[in-house]
Amino acid sequence: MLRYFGRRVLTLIPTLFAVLTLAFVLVRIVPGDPALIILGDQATPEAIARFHSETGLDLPIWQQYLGFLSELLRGDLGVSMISNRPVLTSIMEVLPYTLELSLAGVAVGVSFGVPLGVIAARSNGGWADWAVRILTLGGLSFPAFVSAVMLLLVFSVWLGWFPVISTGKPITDPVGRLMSLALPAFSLGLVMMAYVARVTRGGMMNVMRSDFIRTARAKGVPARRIVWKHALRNVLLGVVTFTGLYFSVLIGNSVLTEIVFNRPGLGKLVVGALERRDYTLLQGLVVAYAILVVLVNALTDLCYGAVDPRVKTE
Amino acid sequence: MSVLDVDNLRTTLNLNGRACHVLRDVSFRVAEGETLAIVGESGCGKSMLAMSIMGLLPSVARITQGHVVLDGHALEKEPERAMEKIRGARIGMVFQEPMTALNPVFTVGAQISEPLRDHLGLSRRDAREAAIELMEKVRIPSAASRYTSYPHEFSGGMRQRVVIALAIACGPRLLIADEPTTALDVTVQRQLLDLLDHLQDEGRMGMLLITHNLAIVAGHADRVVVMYGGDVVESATVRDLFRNPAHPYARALLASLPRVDRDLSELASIPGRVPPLAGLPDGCRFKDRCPHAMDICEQMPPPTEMPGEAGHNVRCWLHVEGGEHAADG
Ligand SMILES: Nc1ncnc2c1ncn2[C@@H]1O[C@H](COP(=O)(O)OP(=O)(O)O)[C@@H](O)[C@H]1O
Ligand SMILES: [Mg+2]
Repeated sequence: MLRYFGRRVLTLIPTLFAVLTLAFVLVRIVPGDPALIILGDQATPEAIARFHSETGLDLPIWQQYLGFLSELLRGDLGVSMISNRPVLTSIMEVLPYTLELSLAGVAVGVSFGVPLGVIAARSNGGWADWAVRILTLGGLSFPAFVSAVMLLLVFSVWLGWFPVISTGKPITDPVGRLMSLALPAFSLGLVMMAYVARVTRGGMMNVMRSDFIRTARAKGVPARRIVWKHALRNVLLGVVTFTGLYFSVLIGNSVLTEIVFNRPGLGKLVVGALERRDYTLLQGLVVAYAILVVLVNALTDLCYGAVDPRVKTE
Repeated sequence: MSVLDVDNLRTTLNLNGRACHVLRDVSFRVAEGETLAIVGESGCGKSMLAMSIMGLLPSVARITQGHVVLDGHALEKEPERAMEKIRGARIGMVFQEPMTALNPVFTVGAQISEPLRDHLGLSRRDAREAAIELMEKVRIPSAASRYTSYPHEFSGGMRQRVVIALAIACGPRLLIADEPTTALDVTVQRQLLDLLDHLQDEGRMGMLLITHNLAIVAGHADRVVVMYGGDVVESATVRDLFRNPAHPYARALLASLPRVDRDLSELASIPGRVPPLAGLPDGCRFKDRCPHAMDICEQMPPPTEMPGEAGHNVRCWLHVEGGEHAADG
């Protein structure tokens, strides 16, 4: 198991390297000179040159790249071009909020999607199946920000159950923090829930036809346990794979969710950095997202190994 | 007293609104300690028969007539909840395809323990011990250390032993083996059939051995029921059937056996195949392939109650006194 995991992590290193390089390149092909944006149109050529040499922008591109990598290895993401704060500090400040939101979104997607999918498969063509189909179709066809705004209107403005603005509550106020997390997480997890329900339904329909389910019935396993244990355990393999693949999409969507709900997080940082052409901050954010996605992939593999006994011996 | 008494059983499939009898008035008995073989080409309804007994018919199929009686107790109207307590406890079943018969994500030990805990109420630890004993009984080498293995770590033959172990776990009265060795090579086939014989003698359970291989019938069964197109066309002791087959289909089966280990994949002396369910004729279902077909065979199925030697029944107009004229009277 450990060896399997170790091997998976090793194969991730080239991927990570490629993504980091991409981050470096992306930020440098954005048109516009940051010096002009930061110093203003009227900046003197001397001031611009000084800015370039201070930020290392006058060096040849390969030297910038080597510098970027060596600093990265030391855990240094540079300082913001605008605020002069270390990028790492800015990111670490809000990372917990984004992590919390993404994980809660995944939790909503899986913990609602899986049972819905199972119920739909069991009813197969019955009213429950249709109800789930309509629900998932709704989840998939509304743009994420529309459903976010609708949730906000209904549950916060009309019903007043949840706070309208989920500004960061300290961890010392767990109820407040959960309340402010609930709506954004639900909004973020809604689309995933729809997908997970579909994946689960399809998987269940297949698995329930398989020979080993017939064996289980032939040995008198109660119907409920056949569905929720014997069949579902096999379907979860597909759900884990899907969740791993979908996570990067979800992280992308979280930017939007954070803005709609006015939550602190990487998303707000991204928008700010884009607006102000804060190259170093932007670069640091891309790196952070990349590491997050790669880590989640590793985690997915680990989960997969835990639910499917066949991968260990391969 | 018989362990299993199948009486005038009719199972009907709903094929897009059309009712087709996949089993037509099937009757036979299995006595304690007896092995009854069910033979017939594929598509004859053998698996449907097994599933009718188990109460595991697909949703389009239903028992529409007759009884399945286990130890004097009719099963065909039992609700699903009650059948869950009977399956695996009083009837065990072994299937054709060992490679896919076990759940890939659970250990073989857990899969054998499950019926022990469900039906016998054993604790986790007792079930584990009993399961290891069962694994030894079906001759899985180093059973104790294999308890936590997963199915993919086993060969086909070993997986079938696991399936047999869980089928006999609770000491069933009846074991249904639906082509248990068809998917396995010949040496493994022999070992498994010998194992089944041995287990049966030990427990005095009745066994329904479904096969299309007459060599298996000759070597391992006491009596045999020949099926064609959902009908029982002949039933007899193995000895009687091999010496003195009466139904044209049974004769054809035996005639197509120049070598004793030959399968019934094709009948040398009778061209054609079992017709699909929707294409089965109304009268005698064999008439289109029968060299002796008469008018009456077209018009109505032969009667099921047949006079014959003791224990030797044939369902064929040729063997009804004055059968040719039955339609007139
Ligand atoms: N689920 C089903 N739906 C429709 N027809 C079926 C179904 N299962 C079996 N049949 C038909 O029933 C007949 C008997 O099948 P089966 O019992 O599997 O035969 P055997 O086991 O003797 O090979 C065949 O004609 C087969 O095509
Ligand atoms: Mg069959």
